Amino acid sequence: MLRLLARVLKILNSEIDPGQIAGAVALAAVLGLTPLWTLHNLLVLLLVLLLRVNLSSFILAWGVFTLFAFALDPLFDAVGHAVLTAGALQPLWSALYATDVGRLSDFNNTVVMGSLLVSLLLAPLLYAGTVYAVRQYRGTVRAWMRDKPIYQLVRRTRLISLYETMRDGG
Amino acid sequence: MKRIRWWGLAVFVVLVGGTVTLWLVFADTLVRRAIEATGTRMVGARVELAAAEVGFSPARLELRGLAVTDADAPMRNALEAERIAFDIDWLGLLLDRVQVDEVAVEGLRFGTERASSGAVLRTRGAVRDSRLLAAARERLELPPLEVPPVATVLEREGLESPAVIAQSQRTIRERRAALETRLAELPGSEELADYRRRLDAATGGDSTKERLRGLKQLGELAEELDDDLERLRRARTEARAAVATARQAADAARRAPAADIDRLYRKYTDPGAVAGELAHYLLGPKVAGWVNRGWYWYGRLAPYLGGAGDADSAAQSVPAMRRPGRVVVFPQAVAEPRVLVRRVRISGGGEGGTLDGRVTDIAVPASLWAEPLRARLDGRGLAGLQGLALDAGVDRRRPGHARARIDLDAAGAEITGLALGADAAVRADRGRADFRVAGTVDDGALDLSLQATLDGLDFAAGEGAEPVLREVAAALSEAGRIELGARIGGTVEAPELQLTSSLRPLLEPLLRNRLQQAAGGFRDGLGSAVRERTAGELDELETSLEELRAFEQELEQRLQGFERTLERVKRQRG
Repeated sequence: MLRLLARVLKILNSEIDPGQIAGAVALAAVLGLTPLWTLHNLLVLLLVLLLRVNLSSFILAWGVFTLFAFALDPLFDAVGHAVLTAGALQPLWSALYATDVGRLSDFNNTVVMGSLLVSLLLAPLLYAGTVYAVRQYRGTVRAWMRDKPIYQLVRRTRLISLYETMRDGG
Repeated sequence: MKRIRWWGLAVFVVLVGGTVTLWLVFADTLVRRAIEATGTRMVGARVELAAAEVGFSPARLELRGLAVTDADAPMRNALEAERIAFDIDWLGLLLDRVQVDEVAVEGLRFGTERASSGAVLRTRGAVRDSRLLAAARERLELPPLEVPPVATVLEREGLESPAVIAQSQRTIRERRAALETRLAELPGSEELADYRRRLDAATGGDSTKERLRGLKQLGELAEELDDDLERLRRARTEARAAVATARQAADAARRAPAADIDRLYRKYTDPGAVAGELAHYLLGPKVAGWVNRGWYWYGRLAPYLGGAGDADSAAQSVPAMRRPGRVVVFPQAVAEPRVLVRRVRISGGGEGGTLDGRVTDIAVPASLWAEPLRARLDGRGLAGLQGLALDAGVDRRRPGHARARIDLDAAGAEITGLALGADAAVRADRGRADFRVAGTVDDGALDLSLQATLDGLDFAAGEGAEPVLREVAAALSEAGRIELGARIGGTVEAPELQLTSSLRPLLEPLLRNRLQQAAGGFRDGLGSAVRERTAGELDELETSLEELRAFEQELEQRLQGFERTLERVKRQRG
């Protein structure tokens, strides 16, 4: 846990573009919240490797979103079932179901559909939110915190020494 | 800042390419293990494959050395095939869609020996636990072959007469209560006395005025009496019907003890009936086992030979295998079955025999395919079987409905270790059998018949068997031939087995002397005991019937009193 926090601190305090961190978080949300072995995740993997998103942030966020996914599966199931059985959408789903790509994508699984929908809705919000949060942290929070006595206290803890080791490439 | 990192694309290509290459390298092993695992799950016993060869150009799958364990006898294979080959469509497989024009099955043999047991954890009792014909096993007790003491019979057998008498008693009491209530509502002696008083008053006047008033009163009186008489007559009709019903119930109750006596007397002393029970004891478990075995295989394979016709509604949810959640199916988008095998060509036999056949139109869901599944198999000179002809089919084209039919002829089947009766009471080491199975299973309704001729059998009773079973074994050996027939009706949940065989006439003479010597005394004793048990209840019944009749008589008397009074009124009116 300390190592994880130290890793987050390292990323936040580095000079990495906030957009790269935010892109990684948004893509990690899709990969982490949806079932792993699905066709769309091949595309997510391609985007992660091809686009210049921060890989450390991606791996960290992926782990976190995967943990959330287990808890949210019942919600995904309900959302997916509602969408897949909605009367107005039947022609669309039937047409997609009749295609090879549609069948390969497993879109007709309620958890796949529900989690993909939720993660796609969340992705832009996470992107914007992460960019804003990183900028806020680097611009004001970091400087504000350095003036506080508690920071001096925390500085002497194992967390900071771990962070410093990581920062220095240890 | 550059937004694209091209080395990432290279990593992606290496990752995906590596995964595909790994699959290609290990495809044979993966397919072999998948088939073994799926087959074992289907059959409930070990399915083994010597080798699987996956070809990619042309796309083809070849399986060698398939051995399917007999779940009921794990040291034997139910079937063995030297080679199975068919063309495949890889994209279709990825899409969970199997379409095969022709499967070649070569070197097919049945009932071969195994070097090691093919049982898996779930195999034990797989066949025995199937529900079909569980009822047949209830008659596994050896029937009494000598006339037992009356007390033993009454201890073992339930008498039907007490229940019949109690039912009759209930009927009579209900009728009596209804009649009693009806009588209370009807005009009785008080009303009749009142009518008589009014009649005397109306006829007692001397003056013209009083006589005229009296005539008017007599008219009113006559009308009221008519109304009451009408009510009484209706009640009398009802009472007569009630008494008639009660008499019928009482007659049934009176006959019941005699019926019990006849039934038990026949069961324990009629050589024909006892021989029938003995024949069922000897053959029932064997026939039930055969039918169970057929049903076991049908139940195991049916889901893979046409599915449950799951394509009739707009969208259905089914449990997903791989992950939590459900899979919604859009059948209107699928014009073709998920699995379609147009033809399976079978050849084999082994050891000089020939086996040829074909299975056509295996489709899942079957409702999306125009033709029903059909299987034909012909064999000559097979190991342990001289001739085999099978024509069977499963029609699941109407969603939610399934009709299976079978017509199987087998000639010259070698029999080894034929054990009859529970605990293998009578055994024959070897012999031959011809049998024919025909019928249908229509939406769970069974209509099957089995005809078999067993001959060349040399029977012996097991060690420690009762002396009579030794005599039975000797009689069977002398006859050397058993004809048997079974009819299986009812439903899969509640099957009914009717057994006929040549054993009954064979065993009847054997039992006649043994049973009939003691029959006379047994009947007298049984009669006394049954009558003693039912006498009290019958007396109560007679009392109730008398009470009911008394009500009817009272009603009759009331009616007569009212009729006489009305007659007097009419006379006075002139």
